[in-house]
Amino acid sequence: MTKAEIILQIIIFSLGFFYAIVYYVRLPVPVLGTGNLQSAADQLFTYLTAILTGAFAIGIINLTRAHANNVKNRRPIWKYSVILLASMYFMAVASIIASPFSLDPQSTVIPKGVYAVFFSIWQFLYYNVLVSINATLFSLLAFFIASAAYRAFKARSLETSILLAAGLLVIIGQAPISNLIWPGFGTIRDWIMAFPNTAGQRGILIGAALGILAFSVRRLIRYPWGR
Amino acid sequence: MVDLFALIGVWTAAFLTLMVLSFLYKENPFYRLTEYVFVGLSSGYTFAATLRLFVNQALSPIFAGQLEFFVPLILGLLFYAQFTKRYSILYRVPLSLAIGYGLGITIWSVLQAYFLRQIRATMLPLFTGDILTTIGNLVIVIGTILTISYFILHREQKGVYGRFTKAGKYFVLATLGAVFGTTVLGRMALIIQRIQFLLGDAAFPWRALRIGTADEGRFVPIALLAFLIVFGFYMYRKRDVKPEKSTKT
Amino acid sequence: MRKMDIASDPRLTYVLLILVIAVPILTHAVLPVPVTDTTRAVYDFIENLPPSSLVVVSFDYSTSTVPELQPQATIVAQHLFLRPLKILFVAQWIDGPALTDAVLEAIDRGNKIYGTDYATLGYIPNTATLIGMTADIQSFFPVDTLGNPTQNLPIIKQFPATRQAALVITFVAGEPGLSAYLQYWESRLNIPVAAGSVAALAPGFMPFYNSQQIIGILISIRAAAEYEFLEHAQYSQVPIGLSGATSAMVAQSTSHMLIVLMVVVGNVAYFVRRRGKERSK
Repeated sequence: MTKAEIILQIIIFSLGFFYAIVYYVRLPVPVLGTGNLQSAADQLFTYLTAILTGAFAIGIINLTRAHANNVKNRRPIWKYSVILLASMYFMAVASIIASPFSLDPQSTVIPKGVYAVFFSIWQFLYYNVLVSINATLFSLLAFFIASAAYRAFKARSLETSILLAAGLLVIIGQAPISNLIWPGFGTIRDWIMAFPNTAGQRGILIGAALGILAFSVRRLIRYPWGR
Repeated sequence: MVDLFALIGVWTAAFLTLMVLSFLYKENPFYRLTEYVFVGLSSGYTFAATLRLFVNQALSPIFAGQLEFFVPLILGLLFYAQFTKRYSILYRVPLSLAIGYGLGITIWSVLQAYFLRQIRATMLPLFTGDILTTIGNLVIVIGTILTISYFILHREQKGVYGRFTKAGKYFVLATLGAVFGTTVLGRMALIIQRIQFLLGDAAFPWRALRIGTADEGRFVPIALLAFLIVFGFYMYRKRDVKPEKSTKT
Repeated sequence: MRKMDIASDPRLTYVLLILVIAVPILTHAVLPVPVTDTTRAVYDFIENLPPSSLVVVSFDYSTSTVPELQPQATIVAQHLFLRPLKILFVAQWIDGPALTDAVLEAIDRGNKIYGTDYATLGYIPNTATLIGMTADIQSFFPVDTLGNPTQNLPIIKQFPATRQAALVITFVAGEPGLSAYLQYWESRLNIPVAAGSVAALAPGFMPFYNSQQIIGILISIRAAAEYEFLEHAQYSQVPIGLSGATSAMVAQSTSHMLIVLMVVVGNVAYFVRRRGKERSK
């Protein structure tokens, strides 16, 4: 490890160790002008939050660099890049002036008339354009599921049969009309979700928790050493 | 009473919805355009959101007299060192702070919420007075243990041990089946609401989504017709043209 | 002419799916929906909260999952406003504040006053804020989404920290979401948590429901319909159709049946083909 990496690792370890123990160790030690370790930890959170918000422009800078490059070099998709950049900056301006994240929501600096105009524009762009496109993009998956239902979901072996059986019983049980056909479908669905599914998910959850804990401790102490 | 601005908004939303759905027929410039517009709008909105947070949590305390916030401000601005060649390593300083506290709080929180509480919940009485509860408890206890055993990979899964882990596999498959089943519910809900909107259905939650009202919704089928004409004309023009080269870079 | 069937051209499947959804929508049929235990648990918990309890409502989803979660958020928010409760609206996803505003505009807020009975604090950018606000809201939210200093809001004077919450309900479509509240609010401070979830994540939350780490789960748009029926039965002024969920239930049923049919037909075709191949050998 270089000197810089050692310093960074010390930062990671000291902050990580502090936050790992602070909610288990109760010590009335005056730290950072507060009465105990827990209050100091909470105070430190305000500083950490302030630090992390500093990265506010990273995304927009990276996108601008990538797409300005496309435009400059006249790549085949350069016209789309122009549209992306234009919509990005226009939405940024409209949102800064009049959105739930407006910098001046009470119109102390921005005139109320300007605010009203930009608010209408922002509402249009957000609810009529962004929500429509995003919701529809996700809804395309429904068609792919329908197509896969015929082509891909085959009971080729015992394993796939179990998966299909559980899946089909849940699909039928979820459909409100199944209750009119036979109320047992809902009961079966509830049983599958509450028992075999819970058992399987819990096993996966415990395994994942062990993995996360192991990774966290390893990263804190930079194990394996020497790499 | 139909509001003209709201009507234009509804028609725009419908046209964009159809532009995205046109992907189901064939990939086309209409669909691609919506992708780029979506990325642009969401990035712009995200920038405004994060800028407001920066002003509220880093700058406002300084203007309120808490001068110690100059240190977090400068540390936060070190993120931009990644765009320089000489000082790019400095951007790892705020990153290390984020990693450090993230690892620390993860250790105690995951231990509590995901590990100890879940193990405690698995400690169930295996034999109770009620047959259904007994079966349920047995399924949960045995299923959880078998599933965990399936993921123990440092030992070869064969012989008697292999049969245990195979049973664990079946529990995982039942879980995946349940996930598949519920995923169908979710995906169908997404397309159902889109189709409700395109049909101008009065039962569509117009106000909850701030897309006009049911009065404007009655005119959505006009946008449907307009799109079919535009798209049909585009497909007619392209019928003899060879497919474009891939635009992937 | 090129042969067209479902196996060779998926577009026929798409047309079939659109038809089985569009026809029920056009008939405006409404189907009664049996209420599941997980939904009833959330409803009963909110219904039995003592007056003036603080409820934190967290919008942890984006515009992509609006069809599943916005109906839930609408109907639950309406329930909260019908009861004598104090409500704080927050969000762990950037789209949350805008979606909160849409929900607040759609419901009947009765005689609840902004700042006294409810407030919209806005976006929670990271876990530091999520943990810190359990000790002190003002340090992390100096102003609300409307620009009002939070120190002047009566609801914040009454509840200066979210550790006093009687319930946090999160409408969640991914991370950050439920796990953050479980890890940092429920496990440490025993704040009851309820989840309104997209369907794909709901099976993963069942272990938490089983271990009583969450008091109930609302699963996708169907739970919104169930909740709407429950609420209408108790509060007749709440119209069926407020959330838009009930009108989708017939289409939901027909689309599910289509999927089941396609799986069954696909498997029958597969076994017939396989048998044919075995015989010809």
